[in-house]
Amino acid sequence: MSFAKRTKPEKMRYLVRIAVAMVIYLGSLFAAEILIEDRGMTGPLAYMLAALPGLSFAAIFWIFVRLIVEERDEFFRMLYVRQILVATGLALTAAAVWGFLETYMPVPHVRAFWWPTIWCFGLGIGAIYNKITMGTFGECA
Amino acid sequence: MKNRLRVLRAEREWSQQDLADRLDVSRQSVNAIETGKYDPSLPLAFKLADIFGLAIEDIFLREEEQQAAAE
Repeated sequence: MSFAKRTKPEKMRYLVRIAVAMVIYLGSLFAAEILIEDRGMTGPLAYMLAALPGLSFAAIFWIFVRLIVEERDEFFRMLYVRQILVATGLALTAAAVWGFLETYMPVPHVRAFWWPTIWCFGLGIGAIYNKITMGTFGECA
Repeated sequence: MKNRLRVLRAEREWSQQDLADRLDVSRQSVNAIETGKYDPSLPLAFKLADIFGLAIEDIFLREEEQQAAAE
């Protein structure tokens, strides 16, 4: 049986959406690197292009919302919510702690795009937390 | 929440996957319910009751029943 046939439709849609979001993210990042960094593009278009890789993170959050809405298995829905809460807790705590460290201590500045990146890594930790406490990683580990 | 799912399943010689297919959920869901790690929603509990031809309270144990069983 092929992968597409074995995979539930909602999971398949999730994978396709993630792939599209990644293409938009990498494409906009690549374009910003070449046009702004290398060729010195300026003006409102440069601002829009510079914001585009960051805006593609909005797609990631939307994709997770759709996954929770479309998932028919209520147990997996709960696992996804737990996973997202773990990731959100880790990323926001890390951002808050580092923010205060930067305020009071001589630590290096961390660019803000690392916090949603940490959120994405946090999803993996959330899946491990699910495995330990609920016996399964879920389906989007 | 404790339940009699494993016994009821064994009586019918169903695997967790067999029951999962009948419920239209994952095998992991059946395992989580069976081991008491996850309490199903009311619609899913009714579906379970329908599949086994029993009342919900014949499948899931009330807290007092759990305590009595432990004593």
